Amino acid sequence: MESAVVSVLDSLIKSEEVKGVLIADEHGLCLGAKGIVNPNSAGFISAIATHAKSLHDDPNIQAPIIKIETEKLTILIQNNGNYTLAVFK
Amino acid sequence: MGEELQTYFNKLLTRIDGLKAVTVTDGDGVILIKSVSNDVSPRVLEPALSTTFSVVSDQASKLGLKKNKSIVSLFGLFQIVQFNHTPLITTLVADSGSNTGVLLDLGNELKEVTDIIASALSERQVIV
Repeated sequence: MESAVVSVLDSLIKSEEVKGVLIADEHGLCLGAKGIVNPNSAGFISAIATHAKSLHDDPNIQAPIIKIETEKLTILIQNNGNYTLAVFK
Repeated sequence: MGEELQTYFNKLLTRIDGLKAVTVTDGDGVILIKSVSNDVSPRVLEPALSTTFSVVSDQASKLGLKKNKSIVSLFGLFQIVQFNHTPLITTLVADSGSNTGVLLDLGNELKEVTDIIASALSERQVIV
């Protein structure tokens, strides 16, 4: 079961410009992390996704993709219901 | 310093979503600092919480996985995240749906605070 998650993370980290990827579950616990991402940040990443999702109540609208830009990195976060994926570029 | 610590713990309750109570106790369960949200009964801080954790953490440390750092207990209404900040025990009580990852990460921040309390306690013991 875990190997499927690891293979997805591996394929993502090989993408161009991607420096790190992280998957968190609905409790904000880290399911997997590759690259420069700190696994301890899983809780905050999932909290950011949950808060962004609560900006609208319509369940028919797709969950928002959050883009955080810093001087060094761009972080993309999306939640699909149970899981949150973060890509650090 | 005591008031500053109390203010810090009170602020934690508003800073972390769903956090209802925080306590720092010694290994015997004696409460050194506590902060409880107004919307829950103070009874959520059952005195046996810390003493039970103390025993369980000691047993968990014998599993051959090095020293136990934290234990998360999920219940119907609440979740309890406890940290083994030897010689002290930090207990967080939060809504069952709140973000466990954020609570676990809070443990690293609280370690610095409990270290200050622990050193103050040991200095006091030397004087006594």
